[in-house]
Amino acid sequence: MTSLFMRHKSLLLGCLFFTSCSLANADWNSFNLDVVNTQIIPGYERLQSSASSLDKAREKFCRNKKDTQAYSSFKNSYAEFGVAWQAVQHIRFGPISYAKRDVSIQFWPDKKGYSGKRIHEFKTNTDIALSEQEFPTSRFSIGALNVLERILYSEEPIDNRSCELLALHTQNVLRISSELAVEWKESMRKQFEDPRQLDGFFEDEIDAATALLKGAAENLEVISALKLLRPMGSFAKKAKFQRLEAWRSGLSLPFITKNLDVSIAMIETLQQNITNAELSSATSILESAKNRLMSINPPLAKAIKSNEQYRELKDIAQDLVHAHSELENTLTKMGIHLGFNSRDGD
Amino acid sequence: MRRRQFLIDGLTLCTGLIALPSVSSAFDTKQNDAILSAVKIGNRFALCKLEYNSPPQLLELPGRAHQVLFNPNKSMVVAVARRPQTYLTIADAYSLEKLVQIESPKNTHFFGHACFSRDGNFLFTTEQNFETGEGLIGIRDVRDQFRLLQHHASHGIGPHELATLHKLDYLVVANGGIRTHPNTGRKKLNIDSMHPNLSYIDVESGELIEQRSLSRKHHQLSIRHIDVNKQDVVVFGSQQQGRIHTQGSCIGKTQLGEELRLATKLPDKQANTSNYVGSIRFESSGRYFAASDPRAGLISFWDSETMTLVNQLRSRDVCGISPSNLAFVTSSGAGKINGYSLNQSTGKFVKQWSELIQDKGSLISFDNHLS
Repeated sequence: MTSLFMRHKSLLLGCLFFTSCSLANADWNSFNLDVVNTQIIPGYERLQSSASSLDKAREKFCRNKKDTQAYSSFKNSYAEFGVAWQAVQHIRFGPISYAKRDVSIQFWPDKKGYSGKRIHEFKTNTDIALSEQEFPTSRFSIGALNVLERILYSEEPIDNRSCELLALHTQNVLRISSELAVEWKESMRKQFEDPRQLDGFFEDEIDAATALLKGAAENLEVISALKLLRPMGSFAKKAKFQRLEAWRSGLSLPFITKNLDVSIAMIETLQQNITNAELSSATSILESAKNRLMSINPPLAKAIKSNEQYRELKDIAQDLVHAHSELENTLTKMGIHLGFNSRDGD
Repeated sequence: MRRRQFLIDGLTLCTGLIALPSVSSAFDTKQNDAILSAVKIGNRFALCKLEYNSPPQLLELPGRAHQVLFNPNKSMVVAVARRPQTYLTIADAYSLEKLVQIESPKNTHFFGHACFSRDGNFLFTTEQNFETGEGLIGIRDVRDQFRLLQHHASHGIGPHELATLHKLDYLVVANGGIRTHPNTGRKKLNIDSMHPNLSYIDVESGELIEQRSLSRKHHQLSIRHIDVNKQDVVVFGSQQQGRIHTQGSCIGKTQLGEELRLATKLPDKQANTSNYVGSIRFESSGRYFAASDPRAGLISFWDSETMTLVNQLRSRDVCGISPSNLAFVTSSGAGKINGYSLNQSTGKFVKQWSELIQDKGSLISFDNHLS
């Protein structure tokens, strides 16, 4: 009798919760689709179009390596592709996680100079001949952005062998980014439209939202811990600019700004879709961090060596840590748990 | 038998999984026993026991534990500290009243895993002498307040999960190969030179009976989790420590006298994994096993006879796995306990039920393992 009562009581509780949960699920669904349609798919489309421009710019430059305009245009295309990548770098699930696609586009931090070693190996061993089909599975296909930057911003002249390697990389990232854009439009979007489908990618709407928000939150952690604090070290004189992302091209700061933009955009979308979300604290910290970041004099490699700017950057990094924690707390209250075993297993 | 009911939160129903009566009856068919896990609730760490028709029963722990297990006659439970912590908490299985708390000897710490001898008289734990880096197996007398009798060498670095064989008095130990030191927290100190192995050790003498390693190119696949079926077939799940890798081959099988055999690499889009196995368990027949990948949010079901992937299912932050009457029960950091069974007509595993477990409205994050 007691057991029966307990069961009915639980069912009743379940029913009381049911209406509000259904509404919440609809809200999550609208947030998910908003992010996918206005941020992720356009982000991958930009990656594809910038990869296409990059490949064309590489082809033009490699046809005439003395053409300074083609060289400058190749560098601009590299920067455009790099920034486009930063806008989707935080998406770590789905199509990007297949077949080494992520590390093929960028391998950072490259603590052991893997990309430099592969460039050297490719250039010195002329017996290495890879077709466009063989390249993706070879050890040379890692870190297109790293390789492009090292070659484009090297003091050494770019020779034919370097151009061969550049061609393999730009063709590979064009192929990858085209596939990513198509797969997101044709299959991943459907997973978000019906997150409860049998054998689907997600368990439910909240699971899908978690995947998205985890990217936005971890992005803040990556910026503060890896992109700022790691190169900065304990004080300005000891700062190691070589640990910055894209220090050779001087793009460290624009890359970070783009990362921050996408996290802010996702949080704003969350605020728009979930009316009672208490996100104002995290948003205002992030907006302020972004404004302060924009007042840093580029390049970042120089800024981290100046005492005054070092202090400012340290504060910005701490603010990002704070924003990350605020965001995580708010999300927890909203039923989004960014992970426990998935982040710190054994 | 005590008939209890989980505290079912309304949200459980809202997930649209399975209606309440099915949930409860499904859980009821598991076994009469409770299930155990280490958990985190807010900033607290605890041992958690779940029983049908009952709220979660908790025992606060000194720090984060990893594996929590019953002794064979299910009168006691043991919580093993996660590395580099140094405690073992032993409690009464019924009341969860703490019976004994043990500290590892000076200069040693636990690695989060333990197993009992088949007769239940001895507890074996994986440990490390962190000054020398030597992997150890601690042997404790259950009948004498878990007094440490001796240490055997684990015959490798960073021993993680261990199990007893059914037919022979041997332990099988997954030496993950990773050197750590409490002074540097959980930092891995030898990733470039690591060399994991699976060692069979005579329980009584500590003699190394057989040791198997993966090929040189897989030296960064840290073999960490194992399970043994009644035929003494060992399945293992490893964790890729290198950053540049191909996907799909971090699960394998072996048995005494045989090489380690990694599952065939699957086409990249099928092998939807982060190359990280958090837990691995056979179901009761010993033919099928499940492996969890919390990073990818996947549970993979395998046929150990053919070493083929049966199917994969999504489960956010899933990690703990335990065999059940249905087939498997899993737990997740997101507070869910799910039940899975094999659908005979499709030959695939399906989720039968799911429950969100809470403690007075607070999320219970289930840690890596479930017993």
